[in-house]
Amino acid sequence: MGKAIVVTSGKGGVGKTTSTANIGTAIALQGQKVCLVDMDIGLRNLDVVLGLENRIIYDIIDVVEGRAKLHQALIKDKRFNDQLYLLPAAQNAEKEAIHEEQMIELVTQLKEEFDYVIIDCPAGIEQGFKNSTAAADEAILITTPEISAIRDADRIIGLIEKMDVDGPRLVINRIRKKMMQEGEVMDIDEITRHLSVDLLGIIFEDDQVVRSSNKGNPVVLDPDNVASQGYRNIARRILGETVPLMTLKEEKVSFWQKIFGRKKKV
Amino acid sequence: MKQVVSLRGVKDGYQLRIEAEAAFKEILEQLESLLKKINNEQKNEKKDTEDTEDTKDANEERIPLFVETGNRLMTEKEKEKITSIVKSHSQFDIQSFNAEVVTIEKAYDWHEKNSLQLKMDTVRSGQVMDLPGDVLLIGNINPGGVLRAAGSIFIIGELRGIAHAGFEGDEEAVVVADYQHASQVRLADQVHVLEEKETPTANYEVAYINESKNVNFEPVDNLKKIRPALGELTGRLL
Repeated sequence: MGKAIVVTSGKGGVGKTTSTANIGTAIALQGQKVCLVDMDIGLRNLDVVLGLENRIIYDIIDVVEGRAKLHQALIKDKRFNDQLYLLPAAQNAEKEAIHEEQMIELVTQLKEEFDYVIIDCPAGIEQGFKNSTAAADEAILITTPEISAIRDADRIIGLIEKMDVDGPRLVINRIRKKMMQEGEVMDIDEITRHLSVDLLGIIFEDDQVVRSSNKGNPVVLDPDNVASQGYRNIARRILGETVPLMTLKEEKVSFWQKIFGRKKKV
Repeated sequence: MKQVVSLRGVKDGYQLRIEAEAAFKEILEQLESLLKKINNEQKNEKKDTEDTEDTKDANEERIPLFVETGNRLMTEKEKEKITSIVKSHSQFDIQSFNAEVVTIEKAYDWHEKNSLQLKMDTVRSGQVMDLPGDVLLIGNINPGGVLRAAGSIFIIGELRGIAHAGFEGDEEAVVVADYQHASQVRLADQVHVLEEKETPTANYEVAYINESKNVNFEPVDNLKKIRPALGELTGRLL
């Protein structure tokens, strides 16, 4: 029986879809069978960042309303040796088109076939959020170091703590090293302490994420990229490994600066 | 036969004492006969004074009666029966039924309202935590979070949200906290906005409503002087 993980945030635009695609892909690359579920009904995006959008025939609402069987709606990503599948969202439906009980039934079916079912939750705390969390065993909370994202994250944590869902575990995304080093945003410890949750991982801001996503390629496919490394580390931690956190690299201090005074330390 | 009801005069009227262990039927019987006896005695007295014209007015005067039930809690039906007998057989007007016991439910309620509850939690954004008495919070109130207590609030942690003490209107309630961060303190119906302190001072203050009905802040050392009665049971039950 597989595990269902919901990727949520509260705030929009912090990287839930990107993280779902990349963490899911990274776990699949580790040999696990993964199904990604796009719960952003009405606006679907997960298929786009995976490069699978032109292969959609049936979606989750077709399944729920009986027009298609579950296996007919699942799209296999051919790049990953049968390890990665996607259940796309519908564009011409609303979040109210599906309810918690239906989600639970659907995800239970998926858990019988897959090691990991990763649910991409839409922004907000309304029906989309309720549906996405209804069937989850554990939660991953994505935030950025911006105060608005952190505020929403706190709200979400409060809601999840009252549910029968493990976690949430925190991923701090889109970290701009310079801003953090210069104290212009809360640093990793401050954010983690303020939200009082376990830290799952950090991802540094990187243009490559946008470039590859535009091409329909998850950035984890590039092993040298720093954001890719962050996602791969997260995947390994989910699979039970202990992986040290990536550090905000210290800026190189020149010889003369060493003598006459140091630059601000991380 | 043992007497289970007795009448005696008190400062504000009369007291009807009912034995707690007595059977209710017996109480009703004895009460009726007692009141009839008193009535007859009064009628005989009036006959002697020959004040027949004023008798009607005199009869309308109701005398206050306090019913003491001791260690018995009377049901509403029982109270109604006693009330109707007293009304129809006498000039007494029942003011209250008083017992020396309360239900366990009421006792727990009283305990809750008068005790200091310990909460080891963080109040997160969007959450509202409601408490019936005083509360000691060991945890934070995050921005967007609200802690409401009918009594006083004591915070060991960060106050960044809203702490509302005395929210049922008690102006004696206070909030003790380290007011370093931007937050809001509310006392009864007063609201006070706090800005983030430039230099964190890490020192506890008490927010209270003073005689001029304003929100005031003083070092927590002065708490005893400001609210000497804080925490004492005030017998709010009865």
